[in-house]
Amino acid sequence: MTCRVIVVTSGKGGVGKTTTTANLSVALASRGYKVVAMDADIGLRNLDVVLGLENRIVYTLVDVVEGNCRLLQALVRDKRVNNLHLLPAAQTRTKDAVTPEQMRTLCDELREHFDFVLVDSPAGIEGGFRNAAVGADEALVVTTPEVSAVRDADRIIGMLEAMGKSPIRLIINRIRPYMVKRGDMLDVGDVLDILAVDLVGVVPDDDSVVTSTNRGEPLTLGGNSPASKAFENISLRLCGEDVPFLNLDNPEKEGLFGKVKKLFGL
Amino acid sequence: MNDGAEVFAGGNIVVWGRLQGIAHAGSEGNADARILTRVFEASQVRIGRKVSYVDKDSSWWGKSVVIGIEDETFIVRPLTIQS
Repeated sequence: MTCRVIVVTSGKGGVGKTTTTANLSVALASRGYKVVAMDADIGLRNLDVVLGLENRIVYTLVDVVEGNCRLLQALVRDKRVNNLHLLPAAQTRTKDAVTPEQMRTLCDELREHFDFVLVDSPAGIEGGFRNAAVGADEALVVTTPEVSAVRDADRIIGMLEAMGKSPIRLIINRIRPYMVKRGDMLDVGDVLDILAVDLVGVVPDDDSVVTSTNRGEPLTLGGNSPASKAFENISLRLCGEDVPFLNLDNPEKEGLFGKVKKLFGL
Repeated sequence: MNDGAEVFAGGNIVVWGRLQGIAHAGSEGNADARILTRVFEASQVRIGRKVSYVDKDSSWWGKSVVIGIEDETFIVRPLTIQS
């Protein structure tokens, strides 16, 4: 298959770009695709920690660009999932260490070896974001159901369109069904009214994301949490499969009674 | 020296406290360089052109150590300080 380079971005910080990149990379690699998760957040790298690969980094993206090592030397292979590789960012440099042309060349070089390249973008709309997006064909925009995050996502979608990225797809992260139900939180429809892009996934707010991040074990490595399921589904939709959206109505209230009903097919 | 920090030196590195993050002694290729630390908590150390990964369960974790390379392999020894 031809390689797809997808930038994961948001505008606003802290909405879940890195978590999304990590979980989708693991999910896609588990399905047999050759995947690179690239951390484009130079100077504030996190993807290595979320993937649990931080102590195995020797060379970084900046070393590749500056010619200190070959591209394949810098890739950290994940021992838990075949076909998953991390291209880490440098920790002690800044966004100015690479140019858009260098990033484009880097992405094109990765295309020859892999099926998917997921680029974890830094927050913001400046050079760091542009470097992350320049080599990508497609974009995944992550937002949370908050007006501030949605507004920033709107801005970033405009910029991605101007850069010619297509398709641009939306992930709504950290939905809390009980708050939506009470009318205290924007629901999926509200967000889609504002943002004119296709929705590719809705991820429920899930405590297990915090523990998995701290442990460096992405949810999609295994386990059955709601967020894990949501990320799995997004990876399937990215591959063109038609997967229904999760029913997020009261997942925690389903309880024993709900499970028994399910058992009897009610 | 905290996690996420990096120290590169052409010669030896002495960390008079806790060593986390990455220390690279002899970064120009000097394999005779050494790393000294009072509290060894680094998951990766580099000397010259070699890299070693350290497990948290290692018996050296948290100890005062001197790290060097002998016969192409990393050697860790207890750090003894005489006043």
